[in-house]
Amino acid sequence: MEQKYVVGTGDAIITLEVTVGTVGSAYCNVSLFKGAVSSGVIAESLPPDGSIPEEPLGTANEVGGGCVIIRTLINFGHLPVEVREMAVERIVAEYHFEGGVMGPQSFAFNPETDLVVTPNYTIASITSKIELI
Amino acid sequence: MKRGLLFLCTGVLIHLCCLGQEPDTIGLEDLDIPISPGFILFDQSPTVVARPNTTRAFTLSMLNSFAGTNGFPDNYGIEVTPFWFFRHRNMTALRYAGLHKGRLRPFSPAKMATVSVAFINTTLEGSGVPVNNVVFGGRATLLKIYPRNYKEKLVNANLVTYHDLKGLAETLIREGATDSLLVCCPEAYNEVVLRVSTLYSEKEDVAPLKAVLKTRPVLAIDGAVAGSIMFVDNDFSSHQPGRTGAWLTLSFAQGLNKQNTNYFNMYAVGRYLSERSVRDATGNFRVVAHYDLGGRMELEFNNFSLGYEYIYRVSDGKNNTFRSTGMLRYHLAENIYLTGAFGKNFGASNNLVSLLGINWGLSTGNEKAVIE
Repeated sequence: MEQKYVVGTGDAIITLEVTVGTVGSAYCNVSLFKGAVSSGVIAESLPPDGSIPEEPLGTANEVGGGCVIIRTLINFGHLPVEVREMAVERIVAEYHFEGGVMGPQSFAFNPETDLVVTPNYTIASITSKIELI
Repeated sequence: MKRGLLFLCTGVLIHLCCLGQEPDTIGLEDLDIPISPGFILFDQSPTVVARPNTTRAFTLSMLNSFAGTNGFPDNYGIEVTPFWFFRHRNMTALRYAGLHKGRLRPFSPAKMATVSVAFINTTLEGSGVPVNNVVFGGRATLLKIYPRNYKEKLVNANLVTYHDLKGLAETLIREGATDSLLVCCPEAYNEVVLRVSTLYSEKEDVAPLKAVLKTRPVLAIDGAVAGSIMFVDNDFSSHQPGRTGAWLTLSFAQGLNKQNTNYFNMYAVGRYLSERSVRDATGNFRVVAHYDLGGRMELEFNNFSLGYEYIYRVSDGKNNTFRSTGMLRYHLAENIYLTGAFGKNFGASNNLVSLLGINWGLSTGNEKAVIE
């Protein structure tokens, strides 16, 4: 199911905060895709974890009609093989938006469509797309 | 005895099969099968001094002595680590390793506490009447103190992993997993991600943190509690509280080589036990308390370890006694250990420890035991 955040129109600043909770080592970045053009990375996590503190994406007029793409890569290679699958199942990845018409709103990743895991459960990749309308 | 030999041969065969496997998968430390607190409570293990050394979610262990059981395991233990069954919103790799807000937290290992249940068969002292014991236990590492440079190694290893993942993200874009592909064809996007990240995951040095996490603490303190319900002579109505106990284990490890594969380990243990195994003149069970104090010295070389253990027991209402055993352990194959112990157990009679057996462990991260 597509996830949508209503930003409306105007000069209100839309912000995004990403929370990644996992026992794996993580990296996360955010890009904005609008009018068939990607902005490239506009925000990324800083060591030592994969979370991104609240970050402005732009005004509602600037980002409306586009979509935010959040990529998270997690390395579970340091865990015993037996617990990696369980660690993947326990990943927390939450995206918290503010500044839109509906006020603050949080989204979670969809494991069915967003999650790709290597056969040895060493690397998990989560790519979530949230439309800004 | 024949069946016992069959188990041993099976173990050796599995071991030989495993020789052809990729070296990547699991290290010896990862495979170490914990001895359930129930086994320790009833002295039904090669060693009384055992540390919680597993990070598994679920472990089924069977301690099998070749003698007297026709080769079939007669003691079973199930151990669960609740940590793995919950989501942790604020968890990070470093926090999992015990480093939080820039500081090493010595009490952090307590989060990996385990709970267990074990089924142990014993006999009533002096009468030989069979007793079935159901033992509930819990244990945790309460404190770990690492070498001085451990924190720096953790931070650096995690930083290297972070930059590697950032590089992987850039590689994914270069290989075609772009924003436009995600928007138009999410399945094709996921195929690229899977292909590239699978290749990346097969790198030999994919997880620098793994080597650091194998560092043994210089000093560790472990705590355990266990209590049992006993059923006498296979009669359910006879159930009553059996043996209960609590113990602390202090361990010290000194590395003997740079590869961190050989160690000299020293352990000290203090234990309190209370049990009802002796009937008084009226036929009722009498409660007897024991206080154990002792330790173990152990040399560990790759997949082989050799140790000596001495425990002195001060008993309430009984003569003081001791346990003195030598033990060895050899890692046969994944989750299978050959364990042996020989020496004197507690008590004045029927006190020979002569154990050669296989410690089996079935463990998985997904609540079910799978043998492949």
